Amino acid sequence: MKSIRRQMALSIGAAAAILLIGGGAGLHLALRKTLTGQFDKALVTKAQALVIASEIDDGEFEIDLDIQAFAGFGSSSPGDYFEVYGPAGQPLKRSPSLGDSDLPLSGQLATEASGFTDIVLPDGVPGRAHWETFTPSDDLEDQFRDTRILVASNTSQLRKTLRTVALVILSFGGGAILTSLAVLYLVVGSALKPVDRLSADVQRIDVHRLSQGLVVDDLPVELQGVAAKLNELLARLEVSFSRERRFTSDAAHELRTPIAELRAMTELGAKWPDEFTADHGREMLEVLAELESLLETLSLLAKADSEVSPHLEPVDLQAGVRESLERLDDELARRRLTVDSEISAGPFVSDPVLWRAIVANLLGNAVTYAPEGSTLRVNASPLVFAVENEAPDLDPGDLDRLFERFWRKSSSRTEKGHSGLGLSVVRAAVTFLGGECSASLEGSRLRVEVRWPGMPLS
Amino acid sequence: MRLLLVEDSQRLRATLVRALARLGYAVDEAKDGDEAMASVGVHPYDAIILDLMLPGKSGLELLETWRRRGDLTPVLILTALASVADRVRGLALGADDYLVKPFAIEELAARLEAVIRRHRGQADSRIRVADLEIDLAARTVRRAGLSLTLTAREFSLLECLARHPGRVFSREQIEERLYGEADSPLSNAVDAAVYALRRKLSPGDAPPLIHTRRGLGYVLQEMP
Repeated sequence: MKSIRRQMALSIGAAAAILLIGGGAGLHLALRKTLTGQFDKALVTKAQALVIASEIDDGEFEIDLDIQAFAGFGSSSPGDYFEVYGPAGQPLKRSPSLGDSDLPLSGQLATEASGFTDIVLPDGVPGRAHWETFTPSDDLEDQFRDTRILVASNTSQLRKTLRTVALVILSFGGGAILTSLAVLYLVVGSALKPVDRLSADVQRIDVHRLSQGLVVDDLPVELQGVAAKLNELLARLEVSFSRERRFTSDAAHELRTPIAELRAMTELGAKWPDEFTADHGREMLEVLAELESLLETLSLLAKADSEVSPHLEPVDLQAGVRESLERLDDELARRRLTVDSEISAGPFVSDPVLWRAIVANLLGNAVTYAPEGSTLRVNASPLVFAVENEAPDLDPGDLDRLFERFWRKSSSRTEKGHSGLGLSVVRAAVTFLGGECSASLEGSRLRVEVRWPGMPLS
Repeated sequence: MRLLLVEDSQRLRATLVRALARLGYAVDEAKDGDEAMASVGVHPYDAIILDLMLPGKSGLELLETWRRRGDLTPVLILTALASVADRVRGLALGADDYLVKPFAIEELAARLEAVIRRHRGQADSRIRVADLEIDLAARTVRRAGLSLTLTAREFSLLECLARHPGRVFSREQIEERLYGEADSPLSNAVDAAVYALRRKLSPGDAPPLIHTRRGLGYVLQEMP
């Protein structure tokens, strides 16, 4: 599993390791160069001392023994060597430390006038040699022109020093890498503590208590935005969950009474068949019709709640409203209600199913709740659809709750077939179609109005 | 036994009245709180079936009023409100039982029987008078081990008398308990019912158990 802490510690640690290794290698290289330079300088000094001390005596090439000792080639310096070759490559002189062996004159030593090179000394130890070409100052007969002198010294001390330095750098660097890794791990860990806490908090979120949310104030700035957004989403989820829960329980509640009626009627008929009459059958059909219409309303609400976009098509506004009014004719006559309607034609686009539900529910609601003998006003145009009726029982405080699902002014269900879903269906459908609905009370007259601000007209 | 059914759904009310009548109860109906209050003031009821969501006064308000007045008539709440909180509220206000819609009529009857029995302090649903055995829950009657068949009204009459063996019930008292407001019994209905029941209770030459107290009424008891 990916861990930010391990990943950060490892990557920062790797960067630190590369830096330390590079730095150590650089340091070692620089030191080696400096020390080798000094070593070479000493070789040059020795060679020059020998050159100065060289003389031609009776045609023989000689080097003063005292100078030899002074230049460090005495018997007390077994690690230092020199050898002088004549112009023809014949050995002229060699340091006592060489005994009978030679410092080999080969490769570039034979071709180049001067230089430095690493060689293996006669006793098998590593060394470094310097050679140069010279002519002794008192070589009057030009016998020893282009004489070559080779000076070599044992480098094991130098190597040992460099090895020690490398060891120090390595152990220091290794220690530093390990220490920094450990420190990094701890530091990153403590820096990530709020992330760990946030993660634990998020894991503890309870589906049933979403609104509890996360504590934002204690978090570092970098995480506050995340937590705040998460809280916002949780709150919205909670609202929609609780709306769904309420809807389900309301719907279940709404179904209980008709089902209880149907069950009681059926049981009565089953137990005492003589009680069962055609009237009972008709009543049972009535209950079933109510259940069906409740079911239809609930599925309309579910449709408006769940669909992504409405199916818009041209709708005949006048015909739709007239048709809905005609369907209410019997009820209007029974309750001696008059309808004063003003319906203007015009191109109108809507979702036919939802539009019909909006009109039918608003009109049905008005017809049910208007006092007997009163007048309804219906106003329909492509921009607004409004229904007005007398509502002596309503007070302004009820307006907010008017569109709530299952809300009824009285909690009883004396009015047959009115579930208290009508206006909530209207609101859900209107909102889904991009419109707005509102209710206002002028005196005792209720006006419910639907507007389509952003609706294309055709 | 006389019941008051307070329920605003006309269809459910009518159906329950029929069913309860067939089970031998005399049932008065009330469609709202005002009617219920009026009825409770006039008649003694053995139990009240109470819907909670009523127009006007709610069922809980009614219950609260009755209990405050000291009226301890058993109340069975019958409602669509199914949440635990609603049940608890109802029971806390003094309801004797709580039944959520939809329900089986049989269960309603059994619960009614149980709340009435509890109210009277009877743990057993059976009453014995001499060799007569009445099972109120099963609604069966046996005399000397022999099963008797009674009509619902006869059973109610027997139940009324048997709950207080030895006590004399006047014609008016019996009528009150046997008939609801909707019934309009003939003036000699109680006498006729008592006569029919008395005959059914004494098959063969078994000694009669229901006796007439002239000018007072009827009594159920074993004659020494």
